[in-house]
Amino acid sequence: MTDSNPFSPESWLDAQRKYWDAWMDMTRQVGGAATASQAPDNPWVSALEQWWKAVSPMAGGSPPLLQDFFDKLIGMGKSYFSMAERVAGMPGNNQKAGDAVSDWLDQMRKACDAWGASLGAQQDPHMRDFMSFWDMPLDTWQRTMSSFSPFPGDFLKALHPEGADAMAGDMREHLDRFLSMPGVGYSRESQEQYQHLARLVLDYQKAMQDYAIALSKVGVKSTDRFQEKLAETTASDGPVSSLRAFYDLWVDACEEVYGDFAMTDEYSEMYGEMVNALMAVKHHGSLLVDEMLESMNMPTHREINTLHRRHHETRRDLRALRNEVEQLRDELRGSSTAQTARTTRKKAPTRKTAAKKTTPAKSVAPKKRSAKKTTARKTTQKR
Amino acid sequence: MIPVQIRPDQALEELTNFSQKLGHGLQNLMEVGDIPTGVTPKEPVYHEDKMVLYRFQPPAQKVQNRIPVLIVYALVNRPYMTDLQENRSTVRGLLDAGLDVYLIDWGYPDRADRYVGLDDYINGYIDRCVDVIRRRHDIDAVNILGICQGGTFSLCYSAMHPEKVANLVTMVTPVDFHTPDNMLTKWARNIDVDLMVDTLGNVPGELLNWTFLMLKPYQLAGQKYMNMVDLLDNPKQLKNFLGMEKWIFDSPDQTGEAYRQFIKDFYQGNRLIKGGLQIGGNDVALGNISMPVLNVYAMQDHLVPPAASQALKHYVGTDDYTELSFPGGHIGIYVSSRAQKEVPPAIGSWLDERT
Repeated sequence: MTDSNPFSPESWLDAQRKYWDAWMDMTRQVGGAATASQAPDNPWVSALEQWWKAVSPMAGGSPPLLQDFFDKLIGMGKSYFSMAERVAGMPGNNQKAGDAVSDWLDQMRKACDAWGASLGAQQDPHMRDFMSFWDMPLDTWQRTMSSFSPFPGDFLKALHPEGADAMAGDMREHLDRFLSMPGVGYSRESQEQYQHLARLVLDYQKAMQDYAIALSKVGVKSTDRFQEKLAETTASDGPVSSLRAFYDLWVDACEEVYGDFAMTDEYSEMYGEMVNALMAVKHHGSLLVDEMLESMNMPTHREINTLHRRHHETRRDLRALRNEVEQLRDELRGSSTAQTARTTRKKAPTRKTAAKKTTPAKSVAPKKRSAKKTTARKTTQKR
Repeated sequence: MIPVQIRPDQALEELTNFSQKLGHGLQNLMEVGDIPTGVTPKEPVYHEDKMVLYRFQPPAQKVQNRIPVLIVYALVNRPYMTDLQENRSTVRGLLDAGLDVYLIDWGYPDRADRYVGLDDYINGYIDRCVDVIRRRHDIDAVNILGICQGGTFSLCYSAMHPEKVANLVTMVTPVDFHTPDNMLTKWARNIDVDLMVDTLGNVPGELLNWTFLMLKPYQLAGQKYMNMVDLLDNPKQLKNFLGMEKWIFDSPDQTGEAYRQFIKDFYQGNRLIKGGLQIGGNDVALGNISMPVLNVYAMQDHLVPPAASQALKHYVGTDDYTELSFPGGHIGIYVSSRAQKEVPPAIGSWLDERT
């Protein structure tokens, strides 16, 4: 490839080739005893990071869409390289390749468990890049939440060093009791409001942990589904012989298991709890902010909402009056437009009339299909 | 048999190719230029608040169907999906089919719009756009083509104002929101919408984006970009991809009151078919839809499952009801090359037969 490209990755590709050669030499020397986990940080990932660090300032002038897009590509590239090294990191005979996959799947299971228990805080550094793949739903949620919340997306990570188990048990109970203590003294109302906020934050934290734990279980199931799919593919098309096919199969397995879970009532409840808990935190936070603003004699959220609502109602009234005036003008003018409109009104019922004419039974009961109705497939086939 | 047989040299080659494409792709990305949002020439003919009614410039040599068609797009995402590129444009296809095409662009609501509700959208903006077109063309009724949520709005509008709608076309439109395969409905079931809207005011577009990505997170937030690496050295395909990417993440906020009512009455209550739906104090009964209806749906639609659209046939009041199924997804029905060849011409023929 050409090197007129200022973003050329040739130099780090060379470095990676050298690393790979050295790695293969080493594994040959030790007779395959080395494992991927003994390797230093994944050089492909490190090199990709270094390259991106070097060239991203040059791409700094590009539109945000492109930068964001390339960030995503880099993120996926890191996951892919990480997976590649783990899966293809034991060159040699077939048995060892199979062992590498089993080893990788075992580590995936463990990492999923650890991830669920700690919301990703205590990951095996070797699995970190690839686990970012599994972290996607929660990570995207946190980023999304940050965009419309005064809190950073990961603000809860600092709040749960004890881990999910502790928060689900005694610790949570003690905290609840502590936060339910009645306020005393001149600032008791304020104390109670902040206690309430703290309780809501804990509720949200719990909801998010439940969601993460559920996803981690889905992660474990995905490894099982992946093994099944691998067996099916091997039986029908022979062994998987490329990293990309391996990756695609893995995505299919994850998507299938996630899709099944996302359709369950359990998921629906957890999802609802997570969203509702966040809204409760934010809602209460807004009330506190409003109080502060009010004390500084500044306009509050509540007041602006009231103004918006009144303004909207006034505009609707104005619009209705304007329509009425236009109708009257038309009638006075006796214009052809008004004639047409009158004719139309006679022909067709008004909204209210139409609504009245419809019996509830007709509106709710499935209508008998008419012989004239045709189906799509017939239409498509005819063409 | 060992299920995985990846030779190290082969793995190395794959990774090297991947890295090269990534490296050289950045250069192509820098040179890709502006991503257009709508390509067919159009002129604004009416605007109100942030809403603009456009009329597309018809090709000179085409015979026009005398009844114009008004495209009512969803509030979610932007309507340029229907006119993404020269060779991927439903609008262009409709114009080529001899139709006179208008489109409502809802714009980007801000916090001052939070009290704009479904009544304002349907009995307000849509109704006034219809009146503008009726006056411009001196006709009693227009053709309406409703897309996705815009299709649901069009059904409500047609049920409340049947005298103003000559023919109704719905595309990938949810009607029965409680079909068993509707993932969005499952998720919406336990959301406290009142709390959400009272808290957020308008509902951020980012939140909707997240929701749609979460329908297939590993494909849409991961694998899609891996596949894209293979296209990075092809500037044309890269531009196509980026056009789609721009559209996907170009999500206006949803006005609070419209969102509240849409989720409660449609997703949670399924009132469009169960009955009891009221918009602006008016009952909405699909049985009032007496004009001809063409219902177009996508067979691999993961957002609006086919069954959710097909339910319409049981509830409309018209005897002239036709379905058109398309073998593709929710987006493919607008942008795939097969869709360009099949869908707009079919809509054009169907409308011509009824004009």
